[in-house]
Amino acid sequence: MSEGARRVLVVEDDPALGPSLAASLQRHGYDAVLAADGPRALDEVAREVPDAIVLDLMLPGLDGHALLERWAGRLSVPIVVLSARSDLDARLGSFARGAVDFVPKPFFVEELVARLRLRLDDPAPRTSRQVAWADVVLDLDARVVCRGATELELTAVEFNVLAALAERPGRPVSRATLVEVALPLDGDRLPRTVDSHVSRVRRKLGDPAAAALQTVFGVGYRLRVDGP
Amino acid sequence: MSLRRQVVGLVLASAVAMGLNVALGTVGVVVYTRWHDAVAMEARVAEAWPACADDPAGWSVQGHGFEAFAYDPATGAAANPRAPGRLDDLAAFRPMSWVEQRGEGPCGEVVVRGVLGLSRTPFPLGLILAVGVPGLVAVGAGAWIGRRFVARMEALVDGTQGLGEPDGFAPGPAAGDDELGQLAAALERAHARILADADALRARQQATERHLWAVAHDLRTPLAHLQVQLEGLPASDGVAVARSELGYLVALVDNLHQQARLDGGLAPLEQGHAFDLGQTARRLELRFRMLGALQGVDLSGAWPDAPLEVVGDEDLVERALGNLLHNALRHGATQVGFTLDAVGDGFRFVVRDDGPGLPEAVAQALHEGTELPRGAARTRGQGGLGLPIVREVVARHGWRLVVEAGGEGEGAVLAVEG
Repeated sequence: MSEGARRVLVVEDDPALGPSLAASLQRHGYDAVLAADGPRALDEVAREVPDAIVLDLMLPGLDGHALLERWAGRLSVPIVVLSARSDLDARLGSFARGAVDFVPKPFFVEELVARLRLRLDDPAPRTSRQVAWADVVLDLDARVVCRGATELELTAVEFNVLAALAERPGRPVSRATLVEVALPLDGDRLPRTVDSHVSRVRRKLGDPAAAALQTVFGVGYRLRVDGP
Repeated sequence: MSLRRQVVGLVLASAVAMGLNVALGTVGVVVYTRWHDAVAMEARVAEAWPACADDPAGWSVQGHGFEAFAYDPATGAAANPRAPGRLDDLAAFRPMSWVEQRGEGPCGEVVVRGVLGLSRTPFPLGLILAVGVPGLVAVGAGAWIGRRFVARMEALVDGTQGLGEPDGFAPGPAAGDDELGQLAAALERAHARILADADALRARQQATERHLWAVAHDLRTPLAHLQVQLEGLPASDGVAVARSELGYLVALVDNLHQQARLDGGLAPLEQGHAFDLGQTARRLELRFRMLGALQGVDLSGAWPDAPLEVVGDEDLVERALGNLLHNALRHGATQVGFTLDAVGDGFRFVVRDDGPGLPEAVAQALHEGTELPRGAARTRGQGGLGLPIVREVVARHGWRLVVEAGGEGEGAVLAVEG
């Protein structure tokens, strides 16, 4: 386990799943600690407050909801409930008692890890609204796009389309959303209009920057700022 | 009293009424005829009487069915030679065929003879007397019995409207010991049996739901363990296939559970709450992108930045939309994409794949809202539950499931609009 790894308390009574899950989280870089029942979970938290807790609901001793109530207001770490119950009462009851997320069993470990990451690895506040990829830098505030030292001449709509994608780096953005945020209200607001704007933006960006502006099947477009 | 007895009683009452009809009618005719003839004769005789003084021997008065002559009251001899005998002889003809009116006048005593007969009685009035009274008796008796019968029948018909519904059947006045009452009692027993059977079915349904819930619940933890174990194994084609298959097992378990809830008559909106459909889309993308990666399918999704609130059963909605993605993933040759967009006050969730498309029978059933063909579900491992659950959940939320394209060989495009 690397120094400074995030400590995650896994509260799971199943003798097979608990150790497996803890080991799996270890493999994903977390310092996972296992507690097999409610009282032991309380002890673990009292001994050392973890960075996050993965909590089963049906536990011997004290169940998950009782633990959430004990920790409510006294513990400010994200608690992700992991339960074989997926009914609405279980979900709402968990959220009402302070859980930040609910993952029904069975689950992909990758999904659990992704959700933990969302809670633990908040990105640092962005000071500059600049997005850079390949040889292009886009300044969202100045509404300027430069390739190297050359400023590219984009129309307002073309810039809007590119900015909408750059504000959601790596995320697919639907044509409907691009129509909504990038096209003028008094113009042609059809999804296919977006395609022609994207096509022109690609031509103006040129390679290799244009390759980062990807078509996503069945969705729309995505800007991969970490390389294609 | 049995209906048979009531009918026999009605027939007997009619027979008695007919007897009364004959008796009262005859008496009525006789009484009325005598009265009528007497009045008529009196009027005619009074009118013709002054002429008697002029010609007593030729005097007579003929009317409709009667003839009057003058007789000498002292000797009893008739003044008119056409008169039938002496006055004393007339007594022999009474009372059946003669009526007489006696009176003093210029020609002595006058005697009127006449023949009784219906033909001399005004017909409508005689008919009323002959038929009306007993007829009214018969009609009154029939109406009383008939009205009672009809009222009970109507009560029974009204009572059967709520047959099989709790507190829905009340035979009311139909109760009794005749056949109608027995029919009401039989319907009441059938009603009770229907309620009992419905209770038993409901209990069985709930037991099945509990059973499926328990199975689903008990399978979740070992399936989760399997998933964690498989994830820890070195990557290989075999592990990817196993994880992918496990994903379908998970879907099957979830679908069984949700189908049990739907079969149990769950009303999502009554149990629903407002939730962010964008978050649901985000979770689905996370989950199904991983499942797609295991199968070599590229899956992407997009949803609005702003919360897109809908009201419903979040669990069911996530399962239903997940089924669409699962279907697409299984049959998307290389790519699956989905979008969630706000449309006015509602939303539009579209799943598109580049697979072989929907079988024509399935596409047609979805388009027309008819029953999905058995075994036509595209997704192996879901027991054909996937699309029916989608359709059921969508319908219960008042949304629409739309097939936008996706004939065979065209790839599938399915949309949920709400």
